[in-house]
Amino acid sequence: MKMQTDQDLLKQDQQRVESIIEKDHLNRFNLTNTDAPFNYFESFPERLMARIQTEKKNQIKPSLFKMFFLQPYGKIAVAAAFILIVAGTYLFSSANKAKVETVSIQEISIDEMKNYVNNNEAIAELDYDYVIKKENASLEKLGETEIKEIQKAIIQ
Amino acid sequence: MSSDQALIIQFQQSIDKEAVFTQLMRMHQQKVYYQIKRMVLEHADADDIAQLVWIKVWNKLDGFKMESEFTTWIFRIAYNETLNYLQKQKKQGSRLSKDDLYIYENASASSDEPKTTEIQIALDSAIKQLPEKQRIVFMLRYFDSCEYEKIAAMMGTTVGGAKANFHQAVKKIERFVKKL
Repeated sequence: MKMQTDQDLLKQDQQRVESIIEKDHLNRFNLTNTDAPFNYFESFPERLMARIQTEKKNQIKPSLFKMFFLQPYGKIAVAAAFILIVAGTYLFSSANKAKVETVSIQEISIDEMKNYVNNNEAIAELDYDYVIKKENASLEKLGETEIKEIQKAIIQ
Repeated sequence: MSSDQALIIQFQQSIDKEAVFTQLMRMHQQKVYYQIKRMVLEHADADDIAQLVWIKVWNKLDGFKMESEFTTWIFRIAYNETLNYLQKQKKQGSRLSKDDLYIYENASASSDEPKTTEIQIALDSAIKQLPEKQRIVFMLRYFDSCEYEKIAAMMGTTVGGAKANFHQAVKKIERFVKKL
C-alpha cells in the first residue's frame, strides 16, 4: 500500500511539472544536459584504473625521521628534551654566579675610610665643608680627633 | 544478495580487485556521471569530479559496511564532491553556452513553431538558475523518478527537506517560464 502511495505521489509531481512545461521540452533538456562525448564511458574505467596505479606508485614513503617525530610519542619526546635543555641551562648559570662578598663597616679601618673619602673629591669637599660650616670651624684648625669625629659622622 | 554486494565482497576479500572494481564502474558510471553533470553542466568538470568520486570509492570500498545500498553511498559521495568542487570554482551556471544555443537553434530549424527555441532556452535557463540543491532534487525526482527517501539519503537531508526543495524548484521554474 505504501508503494502505491509513493507511486501516486511521484505521478502527481511529474504531472505538475508537465502542466508547466511540455514533456518534449523537458526530455530535450535532459538529453542535452546528460549527454557525454563519444566513447567516453567505454574508455573511462581504463583511464581511471591507470590513474589509480600511477597515484599508487607516486606515493612517497615517509622517512624514518618523519615517522618518529610526527607520532604523538615523538612530539612528547622532543618537548621533554627542550624543557630539560632550558631548565638545565638555567640551573647551570645560576650555580656559577659569583657570591657577593659582604663586609661590615666595623671591619673597615679608619685609614681605608680616609683614603676612600680623599680619593672621592666630591665626597670629601661636600661633606667636610658641610661639617666645617656647621661646626663653624676651619680645616686647618681641626685636630686628628675632630677629623675622626667628622669621619664617623660622615660614615653614619 | 545483489550483484553489487557480491562484487563488493569479492573486492573486500582482495579477489582480483581491479577486475571487480572495473565491473562495478561499468555498472554505475553512467548514472554517477549524469548525476554530476546535472549539477555542473560542463563535461570537463563532470569528468574531473567523476574521477575523484571513483578514486574515493576505490580507497574506501574496503571499509564499506553495506548498511545502505551501494548506489545511495556512491551518489552521496558524488553529491558531496560536486558541492566541494562548485564551492571552489564558484560557478554560476546561469548563462547558456554557445553549444547549447547551437543545439536548440538547429533542433527547431525544421519546426513550424518559432517559440520552441524560446521555450527551450527559457526552461534551460530556469533550471540552471536554480540553487544546486533544488536543481538536483528536481532532476532526481522528475527525470530519475527517485523516491524522496532515496533523495534525502543521497543528499544528507530529510524527506521533508527534499519535498520542500522540489516544491520550491517547480515554483521558480513556473515563474520563470510564465515571463515569456
